[in-house]
Parts: sequence; structure tokens; C-alpha cells
Amino acid sequence: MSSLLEVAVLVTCLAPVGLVIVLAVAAMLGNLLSERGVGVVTRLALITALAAAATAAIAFTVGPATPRLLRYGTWFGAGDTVFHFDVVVDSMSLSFAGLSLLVCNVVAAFSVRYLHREPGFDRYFLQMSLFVVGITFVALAGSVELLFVGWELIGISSALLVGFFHERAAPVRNAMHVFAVYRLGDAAMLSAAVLLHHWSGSGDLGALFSIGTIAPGLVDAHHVLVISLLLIVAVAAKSALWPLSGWLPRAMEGPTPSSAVYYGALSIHAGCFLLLRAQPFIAGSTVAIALVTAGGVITTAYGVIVGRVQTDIKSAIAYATLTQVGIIVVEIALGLRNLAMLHIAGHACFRLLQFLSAPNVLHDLHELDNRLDGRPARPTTEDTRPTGRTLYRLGLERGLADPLLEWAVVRPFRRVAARLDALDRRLVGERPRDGGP
Amino acid sequence: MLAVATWLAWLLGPPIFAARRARVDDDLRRVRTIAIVCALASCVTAALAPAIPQVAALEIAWPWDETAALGTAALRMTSLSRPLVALVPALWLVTVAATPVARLDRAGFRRTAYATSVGALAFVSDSPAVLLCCWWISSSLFIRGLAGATNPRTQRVIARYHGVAVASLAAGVAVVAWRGEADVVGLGLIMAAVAIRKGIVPFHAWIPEALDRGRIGPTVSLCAPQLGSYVAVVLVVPYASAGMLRVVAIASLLTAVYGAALALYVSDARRSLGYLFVSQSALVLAGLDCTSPDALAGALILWVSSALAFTGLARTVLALEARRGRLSLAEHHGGHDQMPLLAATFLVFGLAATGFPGTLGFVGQEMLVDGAVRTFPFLGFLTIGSAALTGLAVMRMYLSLFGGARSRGPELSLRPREKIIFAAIAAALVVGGLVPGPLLASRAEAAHRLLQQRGAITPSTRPPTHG
Repeated sequence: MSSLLEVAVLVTCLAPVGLVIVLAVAAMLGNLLSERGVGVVTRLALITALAAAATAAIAFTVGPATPRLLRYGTWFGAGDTVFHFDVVVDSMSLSFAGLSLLVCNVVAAFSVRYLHREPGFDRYFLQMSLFVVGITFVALAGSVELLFVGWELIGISSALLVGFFHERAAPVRNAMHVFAVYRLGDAAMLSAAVLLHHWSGSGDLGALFSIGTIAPGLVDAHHVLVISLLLIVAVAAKSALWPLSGWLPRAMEGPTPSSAVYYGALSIHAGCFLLLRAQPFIAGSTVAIALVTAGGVITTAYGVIVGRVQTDIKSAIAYATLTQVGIIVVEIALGLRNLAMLHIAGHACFRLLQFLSAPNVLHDLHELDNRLDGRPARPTTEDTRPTGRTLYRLGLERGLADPLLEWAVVRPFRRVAARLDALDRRLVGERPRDGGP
Repeated sequence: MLAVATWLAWLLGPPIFAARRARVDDDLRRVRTIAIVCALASCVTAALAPAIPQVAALEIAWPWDETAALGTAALRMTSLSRPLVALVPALWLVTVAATPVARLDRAGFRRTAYATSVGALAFVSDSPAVLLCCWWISSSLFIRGLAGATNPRTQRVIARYHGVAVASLAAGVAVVAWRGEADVVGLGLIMAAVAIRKGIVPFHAWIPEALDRGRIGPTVSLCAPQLGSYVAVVLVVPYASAGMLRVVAIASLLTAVYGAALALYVSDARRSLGYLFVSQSALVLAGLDCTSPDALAGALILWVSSALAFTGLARTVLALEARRGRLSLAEHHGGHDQMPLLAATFLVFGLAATGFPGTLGFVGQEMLVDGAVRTFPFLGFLTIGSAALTGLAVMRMYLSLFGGARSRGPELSLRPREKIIFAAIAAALVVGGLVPGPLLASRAEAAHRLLQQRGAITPSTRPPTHG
């Protein structure tokens, strides 16, 4: 049973990797695969991965059902830096991997029809397959390095899909914004990984996930706090927790199926999942747990306030998602891990359905409006209380998340960079002429 | 000896032959074809080095007594040299194959060919005098290459930077020859020359300027192989005190962040490219000076990766400029669907420069970050900051150069030769990233040898490599 489990987990990881290779090679050689070919290959790979994940789950349940680390080999390494291909097998990792692959299968089947004859059909599926590899690695990662690889793949595929309709300026601008916030999270994640490796002397995730040979008490309290804070930043960037929530409505520029899988179902929950896995470690620091709780509560309130004034369906759903993400984060902070996992699974499926049916709802409403020859008048209510008006304005400004980021990060960066650029030009005898972006 | 002479002739001769043909042959198309064949011949010759026992153990002593200025051997093949010797003709191959005939300038073409021979020669020598000569010749070829393309004042300023670098290196070699190889003043002068050539802050301003107002081709052929890093590794790292290496590593780490930040800020594609190179080049030097085996091996991998990535990015910018004119990053140029391969390969080059998983840059960056943090528990994190900013700069360039509405006017698609070159560089970066084992083993061996020279480790402590 153990070898069946090992083989099944390996196939779960490698089937999406094979899909990326096939689609990338086909694209490089000049769109060798037709739309139909891309659809067949994608579904074949994803169904294989899902079947393997299901087999692994059954083998794990039938077997001793004790969490363990499987080492499939070493990617590269020299000296003290070694990149092991380690996978964590426990109920949580297998559940999230299974959920992710199930969602990806549904979205892939939907996308084949939804994006029929859309320019960039094969590009969409290549980027989506990168995401599948990323989310599978994040779900099953047993080493910080593998977790980081998955984390990065999710980030880049997300940004590229936001900019999928690259002929319009808005998606391109928003892709950059999303990538910038993700990059902050990636830097925090890499710093946490390096520090964990540096302080614990091992890159295996036992220290974070309480699995295997490394006990959570191996690194001291200060170390736990620093690593936890970095993880919180990484989670906040990926799951759009306040104050890093400004990118979420911008991410809605991508095709609807990708919005569904990223910002409704999986990517937005990837941060929560990491927090869930690392909760036993973070619980070692009261300050970190307090921060997580505060982040969850504020994000929930933010999602409610901003979500209520959204005028387009995808943004409204996105903020509703954020509200639930905040609640999930609070559950994790309170140590309700099983409830949080259940909440993630249920919420991911529900939002997926909402996102995927949104275009149909819009279509039906337009149809209805056409038949009624106009939109029926709806009763309007105005909140005249000062608090209500302030909250309304705050909601319209999306909680000032973007202006805050602009004021705190972008403007100081531009000011300093402009001076340095001018100095560089003077060093080579030129007058400043570059205004910068 | 015959095998070595033949190998050297096949390595250094083809670029010289191609340069001679460019002088006498009227047909530029034929000249380019000959150059491509010559570059391939040099590449294959360099790749065969480990398979020929006499070449693998190449060591040609001077016919006269050893002196400190000349070193123990005129030519020596080490584990450090092997991939670098192949890298130089490979970069030349990219240059000649990706340049359209219409933009082929005979004089520039000849200078690039000579620079290739000189560069390849430098990487099979650890003699200070030979390195000084190669350095001086390559700098002179570069400065002459800028003539006519830039205003005389800018050319003069860049020439001054290089003049000071050559003088500093010559003085350093002389002082080291006179007062011993570990002399602080001598090593300091050599390191100053390296800092200027590699663009370490505050000596960096010439690189973005050379790309912005000069020529991309000569700048790439001067900068990409990173002769400065080689001189630092051969002449400084084995003998410098830990304190000196620390100072250089810290300056390099700060430069890496500086370059990445400016690459993100400036709104001209060429300048941004220049700052990206400043950042990458500084990261390599930072790793070389960390004296941790991991950081050193990571830096040696990053050296190869950044050379390929920078060349790829530069050739992409040139290919786009040939079709659209000067490129500003303040606007979106579009054209992704007309040139999907160029867009995809540009992204791969950029991601390799960022150290993105699945590329060779990731392997180097991962090891460098780990080693740097071990050596400098706080400042080591600047490598992460630099990677984050580089990623943003690359994504901004990608979205600006390929995103947005289609550009007006006819958009020429890539020629098959360009497609093959861009795809080959991207494939080398991805395959190297997915299967880094052979290169990593060779780089780890070179790192081990360097640390042995420093006396930091004993021969029996060599760590195993994986992959």
C-alpha cells in the first residue's frame, strides 16, 4: 500500500508538469496542437492527476494514516544547499490537492467551451497548467524550496492571466499591479524559507507543519516570531488580506474561468492553506497569532464595506470572497483547523459556481431587460447618517488600499529613484531627461 | 602538444578567420554565413575540451622563469574555465546569427570577432599579464566600437572609465608582482578595475549610458562574458583578506539592489536593460566574494545564466528596435500576437535573470541566497530584495514591449534564423534549470578549488553535489 501511495502521489505531481512541457513545446514549435488537441491533452493530464490524488487518498486512508514525508530524490544541490523533492502526505495535503485538481478539472472542461476560438486559447491553457503545477506543489510541498516553487508559479501564472487580454491597456496595467503585490509576498516567502533553513539547519517543512523529525520548538521564540511575520506578509499578499487587498478587483480583468479558479476558488485560498499548515508553528508566537486574528477581522470588515458598493458582478463576488477569507483566517488563528479546512473546501466550490455562472446571469438579465424594454425601477434607500456616508465613501474608494500603497511605497520609491537616476546621468555628463514611469 | 595546439587553433582561429573574410568579401550574406559556421566550430571545439585529455589538463608554462606578473603558466584549463570558454563563442554565435544583414557593420563585425578570440583566450589563462592584455584589447575594441554611434562627449566619458580601469589593473598587477600576490594595495587596485568594468556603484554609470547612447552589440560582447568576474576570481579571491572580500561583497549586494531599483524606474528600454545587467553582474561578484561554497557555486552558475539571459534580452530589444525604432517603457507597444515566440522567449530570459523556478537562474539564485545569508545574516537578504525588484522590472518591460494595442504600421515577423537563436537560448536556460546536475557539478568543483586556494577548506572536505 505504501508503494501505491508513493506512486500515486508522484503521478499527482508529475502529470501537471508533463502537461506544461507538452503545451510549452507545442507552443514553441508554432502551435502544433489544435484547440481540440489542447483540450484533450489538458483533460487527460488533469484527470490522470485527479485519479492519482484520489488513489493516494484511498491508499493513505486504508493504510496507517499517519502523516509522513516522502522523498523522491534531489533536484540539485551542493554543500549545505540541497533542493530535495519532498512531499508531505497527510489528510490536509491530500484533501487540498484533491480539491485543487477537482476544481481545475471543472474549470478546464468549462474553459474549452468558454474560450472556443478565442485568440490565445493555447496560451490560456499553458498558463493555467503552470497554475495547476503551482497549486499541486503548494498543497503537497514537503520542503520550503518546493513550496516556494509552487508559490512563484501561482504568482506568475496569475499575473499573466490577468493580462490575458493584452490588447487593452487596463489588463496590462492591472497585471503589473497584481504581480507587484505578489512579488512582495514572494520575497517574504523566500526570506522565511531562507531563515527557516538558516536557523533550523533544514529545508524540510517539518518545522512549520509539525511533521517528521523536526519539532516546532527547535528554533527559539524570536525566530518563530520573525518567520511567522514573514509568512503573514506572504499569506496577506496571496490571499489579499488588508492592507494588501487593492489588487483583488484589478485581477478581475482576466478571463472569467481564470478568475473563478484563482480569485474564487484556489489561489485566494492558497495563503489560507499555508497559514493553516503553519498554524502550529505560528501559534508559538502570541504576537503573530494576534496579528493574524486582527488581519482576518479587518479583512472581513473591509470585504463587507467595499463589497456592498461594487457595481460589477465579478468585483462584488471577489469582495464577498474576501469576507469569507477573513473569517477563515480568524478560524485558523483560533486553532479551529478542521473547521477552516472545511470552510476552504466549501467556500472554494461555492465561489467557483458563482464565478462560472456570472456570465450566464448577466446574459439572462440583459435578456430580461430587453424583453421588458428597460430595467425595472428599484426602490433606493439613502443612508443619511454621517457614519453610513463615511463608510459608503470608504467603500467607493475601496478602503483607500491603492492610495495608501501609492503614498507609502510607490511615491517614496519614485522620488529616491529619480534622484539616483539624475545623479547617474550627471556622472556621465548628461542632463536629466528621463521622467520615469 | 599537437592536440593542444590544434584545439587552440580551432578555438581562437575561426573568429579571426571570419574577421579577415569580412575585410575582403563583398557579399555580407556570405560573410555572415561563414561567421555562423566559424562560431559553431569554436563552440564545438570548446565543448570538446573535457573529452581531450591533453586539453582537459592544459597547462603551458612560460619559456622563461616564472615571475609574479606572468604567473606560473601562460595557459591553463581549470574547472572554472571550461564552460566559460564555450560561453564566449556561444554569445558571438547569437550575435552574428541574430543580426540582420542590413544592420551588419563590417568594422563592428570584425571587432566583435576579435573580441571573441581575446575573450576565449583570457578564460584559458590565469596569468596576470595575459589577462591584462586581453582586458586592454577588449576594452579598446569596445571603445572604438562606440565611435560614430554616440556623441563624442559620452564616448570620451566611457573611454575615461575604461582607461582608469586598465590603468588600475596594470598598476595592481605591477604592485602585486613587486610586493607579493597578497598585497592589499595591489589587490585593491585590481578590485577597483573589476568594480569599474563590472559597474559596481559608484563606478556603474557607464553601463546604462553605453547601452542608451552607445551600441548594444559591442556593449553586450564586452559585458556579458564578465571578464571582470574572472579576473576577480583568479587574481583576487584566492589571496585577498576576508575583510576585503567582505567589503566588496557588501558593495556588490548594494549595487544589486540599486541596479534592480533603477531598472524598474527608468522609462527607456535600453537603460533599463543596462541597470538589469548592473544588478545581475553585481550579484555574481557578491557571490564570488562571499567565501561560502554554496554562494560561490551559486554565483558561478549565475554567471553563465546571467550572460545568456542578458544577451537574450539585449538581442530581443535590438530585434524590436529594428522593427519599431527606439522603445520607451512609458507606453505599451503591443504586438504579442504577431511575435508570440519573441514575447515568450523574452519572458523566459527575464525570468531567468530574476531567478524564477525552472530556469538556470533559479539554481544559481537559490544557492547564492542561502550562502549569502549564511555569510551576511542581514545584508544577505539584499539578494532577495534585488530578485524581487528585478522580477518587477522584467515584468514591466515584458508588458510594455508586448502588451497593449497593436502598434501601427506593418509588423515584420521574426526570421527563421532569429527564431532558432531565441528558442535555443531559452531552451538552454530552461533545460539548464530543470537538469542542472552537470553544470552544477562543474561549478561546485570550481568553487571547491577556489576555496582550497584560499585555504578555507582542505581537499578532503569537498561537499557532494546532487542533481
